Amino acid sequence: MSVRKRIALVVLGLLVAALALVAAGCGGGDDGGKTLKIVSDLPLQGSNLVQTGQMVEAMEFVLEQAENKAGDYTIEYESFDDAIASTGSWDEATCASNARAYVDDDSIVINIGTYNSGCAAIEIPILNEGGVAMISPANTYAGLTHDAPGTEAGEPDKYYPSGTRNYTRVVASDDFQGKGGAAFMKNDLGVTSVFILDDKQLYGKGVADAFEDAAKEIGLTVAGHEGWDAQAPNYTALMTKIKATGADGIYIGGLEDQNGSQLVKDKVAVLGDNEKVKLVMADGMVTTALIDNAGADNAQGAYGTAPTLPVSQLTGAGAEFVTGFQQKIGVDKAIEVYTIYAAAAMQVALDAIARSDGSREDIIAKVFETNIPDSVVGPLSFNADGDPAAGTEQLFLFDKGKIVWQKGLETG
Amino acid sequence: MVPSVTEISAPAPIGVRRRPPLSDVLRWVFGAMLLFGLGYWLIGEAINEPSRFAQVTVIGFSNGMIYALVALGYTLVYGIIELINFAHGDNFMLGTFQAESIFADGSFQIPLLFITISIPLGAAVTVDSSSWEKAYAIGMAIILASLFCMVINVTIERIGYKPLRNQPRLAALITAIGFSFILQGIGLAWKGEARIPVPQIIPNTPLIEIDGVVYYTVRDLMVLLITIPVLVMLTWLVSATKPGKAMRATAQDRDAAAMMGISVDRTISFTFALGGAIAGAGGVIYALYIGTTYFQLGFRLGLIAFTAAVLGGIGNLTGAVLGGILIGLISAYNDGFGDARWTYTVIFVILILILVFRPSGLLGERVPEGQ
Repeated sequence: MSVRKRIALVVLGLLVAALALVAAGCGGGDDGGKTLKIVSDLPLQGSNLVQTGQMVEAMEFVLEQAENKAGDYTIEYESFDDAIASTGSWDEATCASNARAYVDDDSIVINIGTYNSGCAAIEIPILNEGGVAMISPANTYAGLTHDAPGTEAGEPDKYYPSGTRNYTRVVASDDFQGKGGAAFMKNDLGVTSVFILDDKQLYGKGVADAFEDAAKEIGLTVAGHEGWDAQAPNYTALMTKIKATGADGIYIGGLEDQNGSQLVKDKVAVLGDNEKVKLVMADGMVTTALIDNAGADNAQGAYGTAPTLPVSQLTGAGAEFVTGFQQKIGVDKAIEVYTIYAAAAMQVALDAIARSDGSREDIIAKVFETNIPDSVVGPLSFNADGDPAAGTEQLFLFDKGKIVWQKGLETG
Repeated sequence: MVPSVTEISAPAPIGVRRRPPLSDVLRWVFGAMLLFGLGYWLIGEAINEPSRFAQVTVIGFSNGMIYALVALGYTLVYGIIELINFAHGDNFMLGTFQAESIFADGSFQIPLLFITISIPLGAAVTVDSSSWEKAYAIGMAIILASLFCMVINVTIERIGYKPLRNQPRLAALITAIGFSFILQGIGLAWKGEARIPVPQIIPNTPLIEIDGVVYYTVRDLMVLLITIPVLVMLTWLVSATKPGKAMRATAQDRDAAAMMGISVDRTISFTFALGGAIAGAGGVIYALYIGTTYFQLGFRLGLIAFTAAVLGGIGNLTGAVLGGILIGLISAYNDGFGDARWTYTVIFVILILILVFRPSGLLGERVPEGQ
């Protein structure tokens, strides 16, 4: 029911936004400079909607507060969906056709997206040739912006056929997450031998490879590294093998919606609880869905890393945003992790447009020159690769059916 | 016209010696080498690590039972009208959904696209419920889920397959694929797209435990205790009862059966009802044993089960069970000793090998004659 309600809410939100735009269009248009359009590109179906629907609301909220203005420009915003209902997740063909639509519409200057790295890998080259700036609030696959352990040959250059960069992101990439996770596992949990599992997707395998590389570097034995099949009914045989390797820790790089909860359930059933054989997971598994589907008992004591600051740790502009946004969505609703980053991406977009001459080319340049000292996620600027200059990695613990923030992680 | 393989390898006239073609020899040598390598590897693992081997075998056997339950539905229908009922896997998925409704909400639910009608049964259970409550819930689930899937299967047959019975077989096949997607859509509208946890009412208490290694749990036993009676009942139904005889007669020769006074329509509907009932009961077992379900479950599971049915010899009930268990074992051995990344590749390599040497499956096909 709640999903349906959320769909209804988003549809309502979009309708209101559309009406507002029509009203604004009727009202004048001569009150200021040119009208430019920002789009967002997120998977707005299925279980993603809890997170992504809120991201859309956060972007609308930031835009409302800026009164639909960026400097002299009037800003229009439209939310695009890159998922299909039949699978509930992002879809390659939809990603490609969305990106082509942005290139073809001259008024569109910035795409805030995508949510999934796999979808970004499809959209970046199309927007790169079309000269449209892209700011991702959630992509963490390292190879999109730079060469790192676990990335594929030809990355990241193959995403930028025009030779110049057009893509930035406001979250740190997975290589930092892998490093942070490996160091924590060895130094804090005292794990000596780790077995690594990934979901065979771009994100999951990327973060698991980065973890493996970092683990080997710091002298943490890698007992094995395998991919799990999201459609298998269970993983008990696989866990039996892991048990035989004598690993005292397991690292999972992947998404919960790839049957990740079943994996955790079978891990606990065969290898014992997470105190006995430690479990550390990448951010794709750090979701309340894991608690719902695997059960609080099975998730108990598992750690998760994520490149996102928890709402409770935000200060200054971030804390202000949370107070305001919480009123908008209702005090009883939890703010999801990437919501803040969607707001930050919208801030970057408005800031860059305000400083630009309004052309697509100049807007890309201005996005890269971003230097916001007090964005909702703290000081925000990008390096030449388009990665945040000061990314963060945070540690969370699954405790009594809740995800509890622990501390920031060393990623150096 | 290119002669078929059977024509080439037909026995030569007496007195003429013919050597088998080189390609056949190579095929046999290659197959024998692969099988030998596989056997060598498994026996090696069994000797090296007997305890893990035993554990993995049990896991494979239990998973295989589940595949077998789904495979039975495919094989029953194929045996009688030579149609791959692609919707069967999805019907099975709806069976797991019904089980989830009964265990989690305690109600029997009828999904009607955007409204779901709930009939409360007071059967909601948790792991802490009393044995009696659990028995009531499981009993209700098996009966109601079977009825539910039976109605779906018979309806599909009446609407989609019956009018096409004397048409080119491809037409019915496409209808089957269509129904498969429709049932997925019903599942999606009913429970949403996320994976749904089913209350784990059967605890994972170890039954056989040696030196801290668990070999057999209550849950494994449960699969066995429900599957075996279902199989026995099915075999008895088909081999010893009047409707079963009618089924076999219809399978053998539909026209002759009709001439003998057997109502072909009713017999085929009966087969679909039986297939649906197995889908429902299987769905309940799956929900209890695996503990997670979702709307796309039927596709892959159906594919695996259909494969199991072909592997054992389609139309052959024992063959379906054998094929299911074999696939369960292969995937468990590969997960447990090989690399889980390649499990499905390994399953299908072995399947291709078996089919190359025994095109009609391990125990042979049983399909209608003279068609």
